[in-house]
Order: sequence, then structure tokens, then C-alpha cells
Amino acid sequence: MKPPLPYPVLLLALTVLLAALLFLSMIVGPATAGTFELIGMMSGGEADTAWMIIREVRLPRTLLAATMGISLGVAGATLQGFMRNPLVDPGVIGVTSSASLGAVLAFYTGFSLAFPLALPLMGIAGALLCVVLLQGLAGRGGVLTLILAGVAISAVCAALMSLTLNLSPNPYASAEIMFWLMGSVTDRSMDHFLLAAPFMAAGWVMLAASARSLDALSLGEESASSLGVNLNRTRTLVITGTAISVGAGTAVTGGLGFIGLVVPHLLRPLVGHTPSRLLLASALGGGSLLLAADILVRVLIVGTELKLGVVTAIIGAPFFLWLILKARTELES
Amino acid sequence: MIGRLIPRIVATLLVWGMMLPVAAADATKRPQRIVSMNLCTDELLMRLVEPERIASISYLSLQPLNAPLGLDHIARKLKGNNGLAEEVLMAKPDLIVAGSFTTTAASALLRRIGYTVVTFEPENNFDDLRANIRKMGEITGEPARAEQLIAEFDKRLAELQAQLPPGDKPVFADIGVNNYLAGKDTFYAYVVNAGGWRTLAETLGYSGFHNIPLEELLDTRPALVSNATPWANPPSMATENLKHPALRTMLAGIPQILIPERYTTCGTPSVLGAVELLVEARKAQAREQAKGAPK
Repeated sequence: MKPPLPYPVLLLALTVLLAALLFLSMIVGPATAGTFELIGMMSGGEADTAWMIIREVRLPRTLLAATMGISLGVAGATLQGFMRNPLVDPGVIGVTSSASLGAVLAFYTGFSLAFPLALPLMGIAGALLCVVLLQGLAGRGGVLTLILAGVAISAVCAALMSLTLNLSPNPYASAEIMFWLMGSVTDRSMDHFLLAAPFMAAGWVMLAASARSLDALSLGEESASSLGVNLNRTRTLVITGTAISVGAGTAVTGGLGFIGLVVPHLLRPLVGHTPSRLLLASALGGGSLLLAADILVRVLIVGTELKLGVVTAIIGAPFFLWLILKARTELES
Repeated sequence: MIGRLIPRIVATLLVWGMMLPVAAADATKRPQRIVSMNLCTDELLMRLVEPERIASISYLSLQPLNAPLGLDHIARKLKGNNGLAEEVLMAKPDLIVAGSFTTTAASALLRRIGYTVVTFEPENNFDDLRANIRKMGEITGEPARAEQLIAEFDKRLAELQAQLPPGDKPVFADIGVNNYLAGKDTFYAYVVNAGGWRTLAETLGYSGFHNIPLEELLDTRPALVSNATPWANPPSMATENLKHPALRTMLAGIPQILIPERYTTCGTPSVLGAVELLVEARKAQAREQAKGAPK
């Protein structure tokens, strides 16, 4: 199938889009600290405060939204390619819920009160535990075993999270857990970004290393093996790469749905349905989409901010339905 | 239990550790642009510090439903914030106060940039209430006003309690959202006790907050019922349980009382509003009993 525009042009367009959104994210804010207010402060002798807002509040938030979006996009594209199933998103292998469970336990035990970074650290620990479990449960099995193991891990983690909320004797802590689970990058600091970034980068490298095998896998597992693809190695790269990139991100932001599912869908026709080309395109697209959602969160409602995870799901799900309906009409006509 | 206790102790030590240098510095220079990001610290701040020194308070305190007892006129004149780091930075504060369970991301971020953020734990009893007033007095450079406020609080509390009729505390059915009830050692139960009543969950032998099944409640014989909650508007699934036929039968004919939410949300002097209402209800209940007794 021939893509509507050449691959390099597509990548350039997505890069320009991401850069534009990165810039926009640095200057757009809630009414009290909006674009014009900041410009006014820059020229009106209050440049220090304006720069502090940009450097210490907007920058970490922007970097986190972009890198988490990239992780979700690239992991979604890789998993969909590896499993040859367009309905897969990074949450399917249980990484989102295991990272969330780690974070919830940090709230419950009070560690997050004593030491703020205990929250993302325990989230990352949860994601790593998920990798170990997945390798143990589905390390040598097929794609079906992997999906089922992921569903089982998700179910156990969701149940344990409910149990934690159930047992929490402190209504304040319960409320905080519920708000955290909705997902947000608001007021995260540079520490959060620096903590998650190395894990996300390592995950990206692993996912990128699986790109060639994905092309061969689109012909089926047996054909791929005969072409010299090491299935076990590919599976390990895909699982570990997804778990540490998305897991580390989730540990800092909370659960963010739909980006990993929608972005590869959107871009697949544009890269001519070649799995390996979809990875980079989805990375850029995922970063852009999450940044756009985070900018929307800041301007949509004056006053209390909407949670980012709520916005991605509310906008993402209907859009996804529309895509499915469109694809169906095309197939049937 | 121990596992949950240790981080709390560490947290408390950390908070105190951070407060000491602040308190020392404020002896010479009192903070002039204070921002509060929590409903409960809002109230303490407004009671201790002149409004001119408050840069902003949480948006909750600006809502008439939440404005603390007798402070509406001050809250109305102040600016509000939604607990976002950006808004707080715009106010260029020299002291930030917040709750330990709310706006935690913003508090950690502001602290990291170098601002003084003092967090307050929710109060679990009247001693905590006094300690938090004292703490707020120290960090704002108003220790004398804090002592005065504590004395006023204790005096009014004693006045109200002196009016209580003798005898055992009757049961107050404080059926709230999702049958989420306050047992022994909760701030709410201390307020109810101070007003001359026992809570349902205390009567059933629970301590802490619990979801108590409806059937367990039906055995108790309350003498006073809380008249739903403001949560009924806007509507909430959580108040559906109040419409259960069995519960309505049990509560039919029992006197009702409406305690505004704002009087019990925070462990602050606003609770005197709740204590006063409860004491009045207790006196009425004693009069009714006296009328019925000679038979």
C-alpha cells in the first residue's frame, strides 16, 4: 500500500508539530499565569518570577508530557506490531496497573508523605516486578499466553488497588489515591522527570532494537523464524522495553489511557503499514498528542484543573470509535 | 500498624525539622505575603493574621458553603487559588501553608524551588487542634495571638459544655455518605462527644472511619438524626443509602439536626458551630425526656 506522503516528509511534519507544541506548552497557562501575564512580567521588571514559572513549573511538566507521550506511542506501535493485533495498548501487558499499584502502596504506607520521591520509585518497582512476572509466565509462550498473562496481572493489581482503598482508614489518603490514579503531569518537578527519563530512554532503545523483527513478524511467526528472527529475543525486548518506559512514566504521571492505542492507528496508513516505520512516527505523534491534551487541560476549565488522564480518555475514546466506524465503511464499500 | 506508624513519625520529624529555622527567622521578620492552599489552613491563617498579610487562600474558602464560622467577611476580600504551583509563584509569597494530604505535588515542587512550605496534618482530636493553632502562630510570627485564640476556644467550649444536662450521652445517628461513619478517636466523634452525644459507630464499638453495613445500624436506637448532608445537592450515589426504606422506618419520628458541613470539615475553631448546635439539641432532648418521665 502506498503512503499518501513520503516517509521523511511525514517525520519532518511530525517533528515540527512536536516542536511547536513544546513551545506552546511552555507559554500557555491558567488565567492567572497566562501567556500575556508572563509577557507583561518579563517586560515589567518581574522577569525573575516569570522565568521561575517557566523553568521550574512549565519545563518539567512539558518534558514529562512529551516523554510519556513518546513512550506510550512507541510502545503501542511496537506491541501492535509484535502481536499483530491493532487492539493492543501498553496497558494490556499489565504495566500500567502494576506501576499504579506500586504508587498506591506508597500512598497507603505513608512513605510518599515522608519522602516525596518514594511515590515514583515504588511505581517503577511495581513496573519492574511486572516484567519479571511476565517473563516468568509468558517468557517462552506465544502471543496469546502473553496477552492472557498481562490481563491476569492487570486484574490482580486492580484488585489489590481496590483492597488498599478499601482498607485505608484515612479518608484523606483515599481521596488522594483516587485523584492520583486519574493521571496528571501538573506541578511535577524536575526530580520527577530526571527519575523517569533514564528508564524511558532505556525502554525506547530496546523497543527500537526490535523494529526490524517486527517487519518480518508481519508475515507470521513461522515465516519470521525462517527469516532468522529470534522470537525469544524480540519478545524480551518488547516486554521489557514497554514495561520500563511506560511503567516509569506511569509511576510519575498516573494512568494515561488511549494514547498508546490511538496514535499507532492514526499513523499506520501514513507510513504505508510498515511496522518498523510506525515506531518513530508514533513516538513523535504520541508526544504531540499528550502535550496537546496537557495544554488543553490548562485552558479548558478556569479554576480547578481537569486531570490529564480524564481528558485523554474522553477525547480519545470517541475518536477511536469514529476511526473504527470509518475503517468499517471503507472495508465494506 | 508499626509499618504505618514509622513513616508518620518520620514525616512529623521532617515537618518539625523544617519549622525550627523558620520560627527562629520570623522572630525578627514576620512573613508579609502568605499563601494558603488548604481549606483548613485558610481558617487558621485568617484567624491569626491580618488580611493584608494574606496573599491568597484556597478557592474553597471563597465559596459561601465552605467559608469558616464568622469569617465570611474576611474571606470575601481575599484572593483565591486552586493550589497550582504557578498561581502560588505569581503571588510571590514569603510563606506557604498547605495540608499534608492535598496539593502534595505543588507543595513538593515549591519546596524544591526553595520556598518555605509548611504542611499541616489533619487534626484527630482537640489537642491536635490546639497544636496546629500554635504551629500556625509560630510560623506567622503571631504566637501571642495563637495563645489567645486557643484560650478563647477553650473558654467557649467550656461555656457550651457547662450547659449540658447530666446523664449518659445519647446516640446521635450521623449517617453520612455511603454509611461511612466516624467511630472512636476520630475528630468528628470528639466533636459529637463535646456536644453531649455518642456517634453511631462509637456505640457499635468501632474506632476510626468505617463503612458499616445497614443491617448493623438497624439495631441501634438513636435519639437524634443528622438531617442528610449537603451532599444531597449536587446529588450523589453516596446519599442513596439514606433513602433506604428500612433506614427511614428506623429513623421515623426521631428529631433531626442539620450540621453544616463546614463546621466539621476541619479541626479548627469552626467546630464550635457544630458543638453549639449539638448542645442545643441535647438540651431539647433532655426537656422532652423530663416531660415524658413522670408518667
